[in-house]
Amino acid sequence: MSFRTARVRGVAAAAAVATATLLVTAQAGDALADANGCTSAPGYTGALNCVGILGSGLQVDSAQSRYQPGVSPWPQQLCNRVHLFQFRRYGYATSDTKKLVANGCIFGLLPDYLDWANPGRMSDGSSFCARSSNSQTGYTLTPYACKTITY
Amino acid sequence: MRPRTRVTALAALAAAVVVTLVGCGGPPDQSDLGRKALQNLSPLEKSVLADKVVTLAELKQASQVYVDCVTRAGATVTPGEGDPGYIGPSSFGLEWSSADDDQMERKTSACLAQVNAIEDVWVLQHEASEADKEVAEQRFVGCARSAGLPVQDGEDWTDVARAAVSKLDDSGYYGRSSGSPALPSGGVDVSALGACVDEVTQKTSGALPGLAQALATLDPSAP
Repeated sequence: MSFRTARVRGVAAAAAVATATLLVTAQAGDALADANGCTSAPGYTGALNCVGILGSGLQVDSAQSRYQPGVSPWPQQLCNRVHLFQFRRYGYATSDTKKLVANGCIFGLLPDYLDWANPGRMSDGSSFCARSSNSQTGYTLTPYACKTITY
Repeated sequence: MRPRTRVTALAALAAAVVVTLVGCGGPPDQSDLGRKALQNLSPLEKSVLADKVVTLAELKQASQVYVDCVTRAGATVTPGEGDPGYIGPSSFGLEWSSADDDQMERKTSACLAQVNAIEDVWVLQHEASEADKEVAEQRFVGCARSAGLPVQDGEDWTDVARAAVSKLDDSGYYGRSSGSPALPSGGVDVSALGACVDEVTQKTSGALPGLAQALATLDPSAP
């Protein structure tokens, strides 16, 4: 069995890694992220898109893009999941994008998240962002939810 | 209220009701995602799915076609992003300059569309049985109870899952990466509860709804 859910790794890593100095922010044109790094997202009422980062200072040891399904009238599947990260590596003047895809479906009231292991060192003051799309968003990408990387 | 004003007000009210209903309705029913996945198949997908079975060699072939396509499109491929040992197209991460975001997202999605029916059927072939899923669901209920979540006897697992996710949200479990580590919350070990949710998510994951039926009736020779 090799379904791509990539959750268990995230839990283990979360318990072990030190906290980065991160500020929640929003990128131009995107919704303001809340204290948990989330923005409202397309889908059922209350759906959220979130970014999570583990690391220290400029070093990002693990990043997470998460789609939190909203309240549906009945449980729905959550399929065709795509997650995008946007970030600026240390020493680079421009941002890059990373795309991860998950196959299959998960039960649609459970959060869908993918972890990116060891993104590396990022530029001071840069935004680290995540967005996603899936069958519940109607394949529309959510706005980016962002955090600012600082010493 | 004058008649014209009344008509305008009623029209506005009707429009508001429509907007509200559409807004609350959410996405359309997803029971036919499997059928849609088998529409507009690429030549490779038609060839592979002619016998309605995907072999490991065919999955590897699909991955190679995908990697070649996204590389031609300008993406840098990062293998090994999926579960250990898995080699399907979704096990490859992609990177590109954000300046090209719209174009690259479009191009790489088109690359995936050439092969994803093959991976979808592979997932179908390897999904857990309904019996195994039910075992995982019941195991989850016990797991959540052990983590300290109040669970009624006979409570449906979906209600327990809702309560678990709500508890994890409220406790800041998901947001802990931006701050403090997960701590017990109201008698609930949120780290343990998070592990319960992770496990049931993985073990109840499966194929697109309706894919088995769509595959059974698939005519790969159809245009």
